Amino acid sequence: MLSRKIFRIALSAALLLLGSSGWSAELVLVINPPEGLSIEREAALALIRGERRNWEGGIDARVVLPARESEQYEVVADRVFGLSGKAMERQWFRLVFAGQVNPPVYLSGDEAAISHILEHPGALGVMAAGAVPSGTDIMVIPF
Amino acid sequence: MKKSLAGALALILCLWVTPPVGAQGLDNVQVNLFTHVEYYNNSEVKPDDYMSLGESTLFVTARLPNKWSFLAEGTFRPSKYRDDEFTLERYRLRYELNSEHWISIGKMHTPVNYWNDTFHHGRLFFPSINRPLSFNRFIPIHEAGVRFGGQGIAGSNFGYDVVFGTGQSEGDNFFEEGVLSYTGTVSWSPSNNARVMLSYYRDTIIDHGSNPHHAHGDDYRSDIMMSSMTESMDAVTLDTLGEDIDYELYSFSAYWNEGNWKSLTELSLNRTEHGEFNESAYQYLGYQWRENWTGYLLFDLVNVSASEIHFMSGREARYGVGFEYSIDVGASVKVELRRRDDHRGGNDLYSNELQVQLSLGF
Repeated sequence: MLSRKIFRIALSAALLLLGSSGWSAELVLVINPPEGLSIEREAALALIRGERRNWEGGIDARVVLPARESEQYEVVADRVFGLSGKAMERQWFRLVFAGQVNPPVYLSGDEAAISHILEHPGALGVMAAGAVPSGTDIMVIPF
Repeated sequence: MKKSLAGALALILCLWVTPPVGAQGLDNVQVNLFTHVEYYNNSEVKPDDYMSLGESTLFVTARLPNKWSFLAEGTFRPSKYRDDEFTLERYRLRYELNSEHWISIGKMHTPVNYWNDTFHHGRLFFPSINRPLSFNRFIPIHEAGVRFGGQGIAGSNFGYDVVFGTGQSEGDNFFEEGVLSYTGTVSWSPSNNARVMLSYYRDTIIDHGSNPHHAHGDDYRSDIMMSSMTESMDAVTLDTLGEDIDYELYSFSAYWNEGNWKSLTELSLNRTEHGEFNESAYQYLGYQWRENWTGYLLFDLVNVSASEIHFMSGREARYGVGFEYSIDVGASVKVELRRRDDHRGGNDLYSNELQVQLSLGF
């Protein structure tokens, strides 16, 4: 009985540790959906990766990415782009300079990112699942 | 020319000082500055300066309301290096017709190949130090006109571009002689790491004897024979002053970046007055062995037919090895050791080149 209790505590602690680690945190796509548009995960991912410039109908998409000071900087770069943080920034820099996409916004905190996304219909970003507050109009899609 | 320039500057100024409707502040405008400095040495011809200040570029993008956006690019280089210190390279308005198609109006880079459609004036993104040799001779770098473009059509990886342009001879004078140039491009791009392009470009060169076609001002530090090329071209074409000629260009590009490998191929065929074809080939192959270090091989060739009536005949090539060290997102150093063979206009010059470039972007 005692050993089962200890096991449960240990498991909970392990899960807690995993959950608080940047590398293992579950990522989600956070979107302020433009009015009247049905959002598809693949389209949102293509926007985040700079493979696409706009939402359906040509509606402006504002991509929010973690700034260099952010804990999620390397995590997002690795999981979303398969690149280092610097390489992710450079790739976006190149795409913007080529005129293919509008510049992304780099923000250092989840709060700032969520606030920016809430302010701009069509804005979207990637962040840790736990960072998104409940009770907002933001759409959350598992990464 | 001056009218167009003044108009474009006024447009930029208006956009700069007037926040777009619905703007949330300056997050709708982004300004970047790019610049570079170089060291160059040649085993046979001593350069005037071993060190030089390269082109500095001011790049502005702005989100405008109602699916419009704006992009402008101006450059500066001291008069020591080129005639015009300030140049306006691009200014264009873009409207999103929907998520797959758009229309652009203004002065833009002609989408004839991957390099010209992607890298523009920011040396920071160039895979090698210099543009391909064909750029100062055959490639219509800029075009003032109207561009229709599309990408990811009907969920596919295919795209297209169609440009109705003012033509190289009229430069920035929008459609002064009507539509003189036409560009058609089809592309296949499954991701940002791979793209294949095929294009056709057609132009009328007005008064070709007094119009050195497609010259682009300053470009490469290593183009030590440029002045002699222009002199010889004038001599060749004196008897044809005032004659308008047709120009055609076929281009193929393939860009690929997978894992640690990166490759760029630029091929083109061109001809004037339906004569014999001139050829150009550029090949870059790079291997990134550490996050900040890339080594690469480079081959660049231009071959102009002996019967060509507008461009100087002869073959020119450069090939060698290079290394790039990325200091940070906005800074890199490239070093190239190259062999250069120049057989244009009866020349028979072989030389070795060393070029080092520090490029910055903010």
